[in-house]
Amino acid sequence: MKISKIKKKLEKLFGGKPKDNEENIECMLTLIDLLKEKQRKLKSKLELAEQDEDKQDIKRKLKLVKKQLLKADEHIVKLRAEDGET
Amino acid sequence: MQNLNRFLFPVLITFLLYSFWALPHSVTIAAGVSIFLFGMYFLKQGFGVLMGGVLREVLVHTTNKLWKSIAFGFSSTAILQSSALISIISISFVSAGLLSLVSAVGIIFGANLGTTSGAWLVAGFGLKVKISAYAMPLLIIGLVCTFHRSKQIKGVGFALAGLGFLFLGIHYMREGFEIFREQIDLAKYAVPGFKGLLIYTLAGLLITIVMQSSNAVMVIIITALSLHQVTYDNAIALAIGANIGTTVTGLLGSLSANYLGKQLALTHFSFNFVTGLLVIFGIHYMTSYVDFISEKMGIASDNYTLKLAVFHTSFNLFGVIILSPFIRPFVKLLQKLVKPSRKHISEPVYLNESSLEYPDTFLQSLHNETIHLYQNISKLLMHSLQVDKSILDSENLKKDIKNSQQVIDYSFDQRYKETVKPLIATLLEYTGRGQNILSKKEKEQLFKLRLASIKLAESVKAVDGLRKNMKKYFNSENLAVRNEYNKMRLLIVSVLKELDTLDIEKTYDSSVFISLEDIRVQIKKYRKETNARLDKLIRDDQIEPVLASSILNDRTFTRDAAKRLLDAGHLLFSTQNETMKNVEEMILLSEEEVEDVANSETDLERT
Repeated sequence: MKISKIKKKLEKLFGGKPKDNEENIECMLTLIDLLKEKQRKLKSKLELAEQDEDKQDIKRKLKLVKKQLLKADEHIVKLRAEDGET
Repeated sequence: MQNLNRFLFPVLITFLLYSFWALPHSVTIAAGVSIFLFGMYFLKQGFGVLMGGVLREVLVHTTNKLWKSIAFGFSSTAILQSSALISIISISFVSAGLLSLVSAVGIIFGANLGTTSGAWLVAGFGLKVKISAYAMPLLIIGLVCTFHRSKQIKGVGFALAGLGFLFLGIHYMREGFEIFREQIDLAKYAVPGFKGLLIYTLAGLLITIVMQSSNAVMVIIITALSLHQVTYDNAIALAIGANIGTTVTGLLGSLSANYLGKQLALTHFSFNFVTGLLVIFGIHYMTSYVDFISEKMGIASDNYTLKLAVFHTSFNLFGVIILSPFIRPFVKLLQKLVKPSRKHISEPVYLNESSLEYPDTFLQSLHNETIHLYQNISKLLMHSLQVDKSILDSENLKKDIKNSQQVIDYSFDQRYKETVKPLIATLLEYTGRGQNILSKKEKEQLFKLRLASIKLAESVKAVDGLRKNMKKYFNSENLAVRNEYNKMRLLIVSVLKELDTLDIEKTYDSSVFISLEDIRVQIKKYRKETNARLDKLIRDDQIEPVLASSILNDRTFTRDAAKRLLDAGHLLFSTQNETMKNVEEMILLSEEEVEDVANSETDLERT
């Protein structure tokens, strides 16, 4: 086991303040879940949409979610790297 | 309340001056009462600092069941020795919408019971031990602690000094009554029988209203009883009066609270009054019961002070047991009788004097009131855009806005003066006043809410700029012009619909951020599309250049209104979790990225 991990476990055991990144990663994962949920809903909506206008509207929303998800993925890699979990 | 104080104050001062002149030794008793009340004030301050936050935290999370509310009211009052403090916290929480009325009534019931612990302390300990010996060290250590920088040690200091003053007060009251007894024997004014019961109940009630503390009145009664200055029967009557009197104080105090605070105070008064009446008419049963319990507890039959403590507890316990099943129906009845005022002019619903008592209730009330302002502004904006508020339920906004061609007749200025301006004035007043009770971090939240009000007011100003042209052109014969104004309506109503959903769902998590980012794209897309469309309309001679310039102006007003509403939405409905906010910032799209998403659709539309 790495020293940093042992240190983290000890910190947790004695009520030490968890590293900010740990909380950030947790929150980022929650956000990714919400975005994926939104993406899933939009995709099923797109399948049901009949009007072209509606389809375009949903596609735009999907593109936005995709961009947000990409950014989130990039950040989670960075955060994990900073935390020594790569 | 102010009128009452204006009347009571000179009467009280005159009475005191007269009694000091006519009965010089009464000054010691009065000094004892004053020191005792001063001690209670210190104790309240001390525990307020030490336990206020914890108490409020516990209050919100442990009062989901009636029995839990009663237990909370009982234990917190027994520890703090102030039912008034618990009542104030409850009124404040009910007014802010953080606590249901039934839970608050449960807490008040528990507080009624918890306050009887004071009588036990004085009768069982205060009169038997020379407590003045403890008073001085407590006072000295307490006062030294109050000079400390640390808030916690300061709180301990106030509590210790408070306890010291309480002991000293009891000592002086006792000494005063002893001297007084040599001059005048108050016991000769004793009135026996049912007549005495009624007279002394009324006296207890009046004394408590004047002193505004049933605890202090109980201490006077017990001290006087221990020195035979009042008979046991009359002391019982005084205790019944004090129990009703303490609710009158709350009733008067609730005049400055909102309708929820009034409902709570009225419930407290009604229940204590009914309990008092039941005990007065069943006094023989109650005293026999007290004799029986006292005997079982090993209390001597002539130990009237402890028997009074037994009576005080039994009397309140009786009230809680008999009346608890009626809390829910009674609260329902009160909710029908005491309703929020339905004046056409919007009055603040959540902000009032009682909301200023504690930082967390104040911030919650301020938040709720700002949302109330948003709701009123939303209605005003929709009428300015010539759509009915029912459009927010629409499944197909584009189509419904196109079909909504009926002119809505209303006076913008009057509606603004009646439903928006009073709320903005109240919010500004309270943000100014509330700053004193907030910490640096809490102030940040206050400034955010103030900014939300400003953004909302600015959105009204922006819509005000376009509403005249909107009324003129939204059903124009020229289809191109009508289409432009429908697009303006669609953008603002889309934002209002999104905010309305967030207001209903109240998730206050990152789903809010995701929804609001989509609005950002919509605003950007609107600007892009309008530019292209307007150029084409002028080129094809479908609209005159003068009208095109009006549309350009109105388009700016539309975008401004939508942006302001979006900002207000962020401030009102976003998560309060700092880490979550940081994470949201990380994935926030840059202006170029937003433009890219908006453009991609324009490309889609062209193909």
